[in-house]
Amino acid sequence: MTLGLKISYNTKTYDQQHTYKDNLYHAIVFSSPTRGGEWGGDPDYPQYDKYVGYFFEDQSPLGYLTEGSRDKIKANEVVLSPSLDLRPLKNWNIHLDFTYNRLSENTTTLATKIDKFLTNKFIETYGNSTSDFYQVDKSDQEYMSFNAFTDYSFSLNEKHNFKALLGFNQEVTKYGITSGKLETLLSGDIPSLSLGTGTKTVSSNAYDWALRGGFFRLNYDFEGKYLLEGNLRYDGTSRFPKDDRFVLLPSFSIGWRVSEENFMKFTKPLFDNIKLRASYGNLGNQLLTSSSWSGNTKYYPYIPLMSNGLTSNYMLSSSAVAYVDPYALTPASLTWEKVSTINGGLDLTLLNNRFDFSFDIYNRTTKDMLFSQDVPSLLGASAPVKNSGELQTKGWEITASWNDKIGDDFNYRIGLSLFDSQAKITKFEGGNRSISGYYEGKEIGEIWGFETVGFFTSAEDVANSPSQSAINSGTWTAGDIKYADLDKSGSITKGASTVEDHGDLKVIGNTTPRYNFGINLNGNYKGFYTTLFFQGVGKRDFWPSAQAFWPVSTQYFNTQKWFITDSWSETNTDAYFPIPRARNTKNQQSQTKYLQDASYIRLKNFTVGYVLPSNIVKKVKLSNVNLYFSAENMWEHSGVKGAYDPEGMANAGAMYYPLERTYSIGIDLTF
Amino acid sequence: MKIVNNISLIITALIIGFGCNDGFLDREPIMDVTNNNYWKTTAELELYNNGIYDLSGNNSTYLFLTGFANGSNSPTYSNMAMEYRSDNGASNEGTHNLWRNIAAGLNTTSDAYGWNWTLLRRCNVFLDNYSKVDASDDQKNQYAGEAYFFRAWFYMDKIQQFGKAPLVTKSLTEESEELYEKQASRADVMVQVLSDINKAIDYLPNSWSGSTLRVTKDVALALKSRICLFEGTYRKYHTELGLQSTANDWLSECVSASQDLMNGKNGNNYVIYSSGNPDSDLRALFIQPDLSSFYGNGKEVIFYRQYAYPGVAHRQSGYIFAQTAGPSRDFVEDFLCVESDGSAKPVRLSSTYKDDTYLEQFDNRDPRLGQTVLDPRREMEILKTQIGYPRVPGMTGWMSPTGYYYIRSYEYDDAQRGNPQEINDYPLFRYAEVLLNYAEAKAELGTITQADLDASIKPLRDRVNMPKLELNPSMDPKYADEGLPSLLIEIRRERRIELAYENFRYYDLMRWKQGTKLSKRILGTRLEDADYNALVQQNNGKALSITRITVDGKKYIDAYAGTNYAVEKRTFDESKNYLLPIPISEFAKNPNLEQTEGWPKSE
Repeated sequence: MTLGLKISYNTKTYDQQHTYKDNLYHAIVFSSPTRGGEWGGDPDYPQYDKYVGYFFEDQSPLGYLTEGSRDKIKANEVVLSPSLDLRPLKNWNIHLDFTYNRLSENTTTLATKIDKFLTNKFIETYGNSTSDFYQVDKSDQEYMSFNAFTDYSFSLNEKHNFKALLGFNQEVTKYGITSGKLETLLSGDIPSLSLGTGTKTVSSNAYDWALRGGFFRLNYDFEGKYLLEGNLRYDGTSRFPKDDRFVLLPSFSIGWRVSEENFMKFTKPLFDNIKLRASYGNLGNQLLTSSSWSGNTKYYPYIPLMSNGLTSNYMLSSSAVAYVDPYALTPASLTWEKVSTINGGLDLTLLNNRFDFSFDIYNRTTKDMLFSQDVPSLLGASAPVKNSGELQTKGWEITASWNDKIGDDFNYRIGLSLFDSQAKITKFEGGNRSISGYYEGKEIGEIWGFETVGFFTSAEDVANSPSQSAINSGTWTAGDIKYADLDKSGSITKGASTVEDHGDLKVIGNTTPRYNFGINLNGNYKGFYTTLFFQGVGKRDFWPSAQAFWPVSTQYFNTQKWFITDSWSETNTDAYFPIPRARNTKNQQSQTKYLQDASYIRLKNFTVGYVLPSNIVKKVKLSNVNLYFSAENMWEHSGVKGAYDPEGMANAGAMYYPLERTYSIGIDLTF
Repeated sequence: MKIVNNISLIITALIIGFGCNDGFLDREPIMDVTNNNYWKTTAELELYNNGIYDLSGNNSTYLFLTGFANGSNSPTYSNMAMEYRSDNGASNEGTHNLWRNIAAGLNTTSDAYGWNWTLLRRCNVFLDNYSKVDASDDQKNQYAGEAYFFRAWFYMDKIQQFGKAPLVTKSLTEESEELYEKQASRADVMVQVLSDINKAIDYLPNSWSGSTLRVTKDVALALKSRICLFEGTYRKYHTELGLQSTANDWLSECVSASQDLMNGKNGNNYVIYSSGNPDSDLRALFIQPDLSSFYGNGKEVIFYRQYAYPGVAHRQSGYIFAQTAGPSRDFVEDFLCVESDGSAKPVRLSSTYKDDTYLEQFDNRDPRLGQTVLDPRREMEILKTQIGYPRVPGMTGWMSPTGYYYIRSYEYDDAQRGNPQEINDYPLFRYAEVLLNYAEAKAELGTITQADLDASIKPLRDRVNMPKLELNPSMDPKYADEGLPSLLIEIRRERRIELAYENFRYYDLMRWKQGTKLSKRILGTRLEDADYNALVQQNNGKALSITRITVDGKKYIDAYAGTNYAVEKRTFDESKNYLLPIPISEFAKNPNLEQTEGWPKSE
C-alpha cells in the first residue's frame, strides 16, 4: 500500500499598462503621422513653451504609455492531491486519488487622470483619461475531483496477454467573482475603493458545474503480434437536463505488427517494423457554447436565465441603474456532442531504424452539434440551440523521417510532416440555407463572392455593362470594379443570398488551411549542431475584410504608400486597387481579384550551436556546456499582399500583434 | 481479510458512485435569477422595466425614443440628423446617407432597417408574467402601464415604417406558429395600438416618487395625441387604403387626448415657456444641461431625456458644428414676416421682405427664425466666433451646402465637452406639440373655432411676440395649388417652424401624402453676385464649390447640384416610397411574410 501526497503552489503576477481607450496597435494606426505625440517647443511659438513635455491627445498612445497607470493581476493556485495505491494481488492494482485545486485571482484596474495632454488648439485636457476609476475584481475557483480505478492483468500460456481496467471519476468546479469599482479617485497614487467621491459600483457572479463518469478498458495482445483494445465510457454532466444527461461512448482499436509474422520474415533485413492499425472511437463533448448564449447560460443552458445589466443607453437616474432581461429561450432537450472517428494507419520502419514512415487516414463525424436555428426576427430573441447538426471531417497525415550518419562524425536527420483535412456539414436541420450561415453540404471555411471582370474603362463601358445599382445606387465610373454577371440576369445582385438563389455570387475560395507541412532538418558534427524548422500551409484563401486593407476606407487610418502608387487613376489604369472612393464599399465586395493567397512557408526556427567536449567540461566541474545562436521566424514567403502576416490572418489582419523575428544567443551550463 | 475488506469498500464506492444519478449533477444557478423564481415583488417589476427604457434608448436599433440619440449614435440617429430625410435641409455628410437616400427615393432593399422585435418580446414577457407578483393591482399596474406605453409606441413606429406588421401580444417560443404567418393589416394593428395607449393612460401614475424620468399619464396622453393625429390624417389623405371613413374617429381621439392635457386633467397645467425673451425662449428648451426645472406643472416639458457624463452622453453640438449640412430655402422661407403694421404675412405676401442680400432676409422675421437658423449678426452670441457667415463648400470652417446653419440645439459650452461627452437634455414631449396637434386635428375635422386657435396657436405666437392666427388667413401663394384651406396651410406652417428638427417633418409629409415634395430640387439661400463675390474674396480668391441656379430671375444655391442627390436623380414613387422595405434576409426565414407594397422580395 502506497500513500501519496502531491502539493503544489503557483503564483503569478502580471503588471501591464492600463488601456485608456484603444489597444496599442489600434491607437498607432489612428494617430496622426504628421505630428509627434509630444510637444517639444517651437521657437516660432514661445507662448507654448510652458507646454513642453505635454502630449497631444489625438489618439496617439505615447502620453498614455508614459504617464498612464497600470493594471495588475495576482493569481495564487494551491493544489492538494492525496492518493492511495493498493496491490492486493501481484497483477491487480487499485488506485484512488482526490484533488483539491483552488485558484484565487485578484485583478486591479487603475485608470488615473493624466493632466499632461493638449488639444490641437493647445488647450489643456485630460484626453481619454477624463474618467478616472479604480476597480478590484476578486475571483475564486474551487475544483475538486475524485478518481478511482482498478486494473488486473494476466497471461495465458505466455502467448495471450490480457489487461482489464475499471474506473470511476467525478469532478465539480465552483467559481465566484466579486467586483467593486469607484470613480473619481482622491489620489491616483494610493488607489483605494474607500477614497473617492464618484459612483460606486459593485457586482458579483457565480456558477458551478459537475461531471461524473465511469470507464472500462480491456487490452489483449497475442505474442505481441496482434493487438486489441476496447473502451467503454459512460459520462454525465450537470449542464444538460436530467433526461439527456448521460452518454455512452464505446471505442475499439486493433493493431497488427505484420513484420512479426512468419511469412513476413523475408522482409526483416529491410523492414524493421511494419504495423497496420485501425480504430473506431467515440468522444463526448459537453463544453458546448453558442454565440447566442450570454452570461452564465452555458453552465445552465436548459434553465431560463434572466440576465441583468446596467443601463447604458438611457438614463433613468443620475447614474446607471440595474435592469433585468427577459428570460432566454431554452431548449426542451440538450445533450452531448458526440465525435466518432474511424482511423486507419500504417507504420513502417526501414533500413535499420534509419527511415521511419507513418501514414494515417481518418473520417471524423461530429454528431449532435449544437447549432442555433435561424428563426424569423419576430421571435425577438435567439432561438434556443439544438443538437441538430452533423459535421464530417476527412483527412490524412503523413510523417516521415530519415536519420543517418556520414562517416563517423556527421549525424543528420530529415523529418517531414504533412497533413490535410477538410470539414463539411453533412446534416443541418431547419435554417433557411443562407450562404452566410450553416447549411447541408457547406464546406467549412467557404468564401462566397463575386467574380471580378476588371476595371470599368469608360462611361460607355459602364453603360454597356450589367447594372450594378443593387450594390450601390450611385454613379459608377472608369476605375470602379466591374463584376461578372454569372446568372446572366442583366444586373449584378446577390439574389436572396441563399444556396438556391445566390445571384451572381459563387464560392471563390476556402479559408481552411490545406496541406499543412513541417520540415525539420538537424545536423550534428563533432559537437557543432544545427537545426532548421520550416512550417507552412500549402493552400489557403483569405478575404481581407478589415478596413485597414483598403485605401481611404475611413478617415481614421493612416494611408499606406502602396495605396497611392497602386490605385487606379487615369495615368495608372493597370493598378491593383480600384479608383479610391472614400468610405464607400462598393468596390470592396467579396470578389476574386482581392482574394488573398494565404499559403506560406516560414523558417520558424534556425539554431546553430556547439556543445563543448566532455573532457574539457569535466575539468571545470560542469557536466555540460552548450553555446548556441537561435533565430525565430527568420524568413517567410507568402503570396499575401499588403502588410499582413499569413499566419495571423484569422483575425482582422492588421490590428493584432505581429509575429516578431527574434534573434538570441545563449549559453547552457549544466552542473 | 484486510484485502477483501478494502476491495469490498472500493467496489461499493464504485457502484454507488457510478450507478445512481444523485443530486450531484443537479445544479441550479447560484447567482442568476430565472423565470421560475422571478416575478415576486414590485421592485423586480421596476428593475425589469428599466431594461425596456434602456433598449428603446439604443438608437442604432430603435428610432422612436431618440432626441439627441445615445453616445456614438449621435451623428446618424439623432433628431437633427434624421431631419435630412425631409425637405427641411440638405446634407453632404456620409453619416446622413441613409436619410438622404430615403429623401431622394434612392434607398434600396440593402438600406432596409428597423425589422427588430426584441423590444416587443421584452414588453410581452412582462405582460405575460407581471400578474404573478404579490402586490395590489394599483402597484403592479403602474409598471404594466409602462409596458403598454412602449408597446404602443413600438407598433406605431412599425406601422409608420412598413404600413403593416405581424401583431403579437404574447411572448413566443421558437415553435410558435405566429412566426411564420403573414402580417396583420394596418387597421388591426392600430386597434391594438389604441387599446395599448389607452391602457397606458389608465394605468400609469400621475408621477413617480423619486423620479421625473419615467413615463406618466400625461406622457401617455401626449403620445396618444401624436399617434392619433398621425393615423387620422394618414387615413384621410391616403385614400388608397380605403380607411378614410375612420379618419375622423382618430382625429377626435387626438382632440380629446390633447384637451385632457390642455385642461390639466391629471393635475399638471402646462404652459408655453416664456421668460419674456422672444429671441431666445424657444431655443432655451434645447440647450439646457438639466431640463428638470422646465418639467411638469406650470412648465412646458412633459417628458425629457436626461444626459450626463459619466453616464449616457451625446455629441449633438459637436457634430452640428462639424457637419456640412443645413436648412433649406423652402424651410427658411416659411417663417412669417412682420409687416410695418404689426401683422404677420408669408414671404410672398409680405411688403417688408427683402432678400437681395444675404443679411436682409433675417430682418423683420418671426423670432423663431433667428433661434433656428443662424443670423450672421448673432455669430458671437451663439457660436462664440467671429469668422463671418455664410460659409459654403470650398471655404474653411463650418460649411453648409445651403448657406443656412441650424443652431436651435447647438450650444457652445456643450460642444466643448468632447465626444461623446455632451450633456444637454432633450425635451421628448413638450406642450407646444400638443397644442399644434389639437389645432390641426380640429381643423381637419372642420370644427375649429377662433377660441380653439387662441388656446392653441396663440400661446406659441405669444412666446415670440408674433400676432395671433386668425380663422381666415390669406392664402400664401406658395401653397395655393395644394387644394387645402388656408387655415390648414397656416397651421401646418406653424407646425413646421415650431417643431423644426424634432423629427416631425418627414412623418408630416408622409401622412399628408405630400412625399413628392422630396423629389424637388433643394435650394439654398439666394446668393446674388455681390454676396457671391464677397465670399470668394473672404476665401482669399479661391473658387467656391457651389453651383447656383436662376429661378424667376433670382440666383439661389443649388444644394445638391452635381451630387448623387441632384434633382435629376431624385424620385418619389407614390406607390412605394411612403413606406420602407423589409430587409430581404427575412423572407428566407418566413416565406409567408409579405414585402412592403412596391418593393422587391429579392435583390
